[in-house]
Amino acid sequence: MAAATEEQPASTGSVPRVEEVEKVHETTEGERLERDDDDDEILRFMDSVDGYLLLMDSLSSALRQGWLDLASARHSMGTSRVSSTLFDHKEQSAATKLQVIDSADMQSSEPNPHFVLSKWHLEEKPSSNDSVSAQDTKPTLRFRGSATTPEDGSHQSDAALAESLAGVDTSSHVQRARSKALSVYGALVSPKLRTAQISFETALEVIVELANSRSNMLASFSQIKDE
Amino acid sequence: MYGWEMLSFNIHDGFLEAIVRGNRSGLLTASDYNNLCQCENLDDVKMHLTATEYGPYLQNEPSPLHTTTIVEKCTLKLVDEYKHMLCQATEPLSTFLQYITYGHMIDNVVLIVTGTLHERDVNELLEKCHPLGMFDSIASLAVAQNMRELYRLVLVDTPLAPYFSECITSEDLDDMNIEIMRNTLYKAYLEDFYKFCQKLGGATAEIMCDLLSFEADRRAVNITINSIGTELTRDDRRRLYSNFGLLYPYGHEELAVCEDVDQVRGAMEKYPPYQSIFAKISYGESQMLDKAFYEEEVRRLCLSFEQQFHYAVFFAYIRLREQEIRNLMWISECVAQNQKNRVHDSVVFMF
Repeated sequence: MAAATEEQPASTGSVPRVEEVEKVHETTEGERLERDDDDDEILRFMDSVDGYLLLMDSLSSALRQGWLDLASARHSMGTSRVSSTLFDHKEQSAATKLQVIDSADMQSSEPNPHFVLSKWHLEEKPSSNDSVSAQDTKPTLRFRGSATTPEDGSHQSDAALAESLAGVDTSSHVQRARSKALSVYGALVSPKLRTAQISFETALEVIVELANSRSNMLASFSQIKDE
Repeated sequence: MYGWEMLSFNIHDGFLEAIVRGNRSGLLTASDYNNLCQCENLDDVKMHLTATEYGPYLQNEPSPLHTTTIVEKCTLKLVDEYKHMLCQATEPLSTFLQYITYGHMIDNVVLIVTGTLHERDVNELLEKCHPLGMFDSIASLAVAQNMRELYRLVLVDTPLAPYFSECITSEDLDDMNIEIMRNTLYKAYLEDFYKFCQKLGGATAEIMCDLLSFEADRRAVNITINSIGTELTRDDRRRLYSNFGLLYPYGHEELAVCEDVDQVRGAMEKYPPYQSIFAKISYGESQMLDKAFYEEEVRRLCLSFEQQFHYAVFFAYIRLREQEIRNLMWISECVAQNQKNRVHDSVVFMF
């Protein structure tokens, strides 16, 4: 019994050593995982900065094209027909709205606001151009390819038809809204003015993307700073 | 030559023809445009223009300059030259010179009516009116609610009164009605000017009828292209085309049913004078069409100076100055926006 008792402390003496080794392994593993997480976070941040700079470049070229097209329209139609003097001062509802969503269920200490553009009185529908939706709380790495998998082939054709009809309806609504916006310059405007309108519309979409990208970038940066 | 103008033209109009030919030599040359196209900012543009006939109008403008300021001051020079010629002209040249400004008068009327519809201040609108198109009661346009009132209260005492017979309705003025009114008035004005030039006869009729026919055809093409995808019906579109010109009447029938630029090209390429214009632009594109039309117009205007003893030189000079102002506006915009690589997109050289 004494031998058994004597044996226990011996065995008890070897267990802490194993535990220590295991603890050391766990700590090393934990540190490695933590380093991996840090690296991932830094990579995400760098990725988001790269995306932000690309969007800035895209915005700059869209605005330059828009201003040149506007000057071209003024050259074609005459300076009196395209000027700020013709802007409508009557009260009217906004054709395009911006919704700011404060994501309260974010894990980070600071709120990460998200911006959604709703153009031409359409229902709010984050398009593929907008970056991350409110559901995707964690910023993700960029993917080079797209992965779309239809869930059910039998409903696909009905859904596609409904979607295409809705798309046609939406595009004609958008066309009418665009023409209405340009009607301050007259009912028959030059195609150059329409091109300028499209350029500025694109620039507006890019600005909202920029805002979302900046929001994600700042969130990544604050996470890195905390760690 | 045609109507023995050589015998009698110089009695009343020789001095003014000499004046306008002297003014024509003051138009900017290719080397002036090359210098302007290399400017880094609008102050450089002003410095180069100070060495031209625009110098007295721009030299006292403070920096920073704006493109609209350059356009306004250059337009003032044109207005001064026009008024100098008008005050020394006798009939029928004085009536001819007044006809040249009716287009601007129509634009001013539409500007005031549209601005009033948008609840803009009348004084602000008056500042934006073209000075060649001003008349005494123009500010009263703001009180009219429909075309009938517009005519009855204001326009009945203006030279535009005869042109209103086709568009007097009691419908309220909205964007589409105003646009139809603009184009209907312009159509009536062009037809009236055409008949007046035909009555003058001789070289004036020969050259002016060609220039006005080109103007009518160009307007038809612009109306067609600008109305694609809008609510303007085919019948309304056809009604806006003038009743003269190379395209009248069969070309107009084809243009009225066009739904895109390629169909317009198909309709226009049947007419040899317009084949060369559409040969310069690619299929499906309409951006360079304006420049192609302006180049053709400038070519015809410059040719009018090759003959003497006719009034078309006055029309040609005013139009060439307006083209020059458009060139300066485009160059200034490209310089201001730092897009000098696009400056040759819309500059049309003369002579």
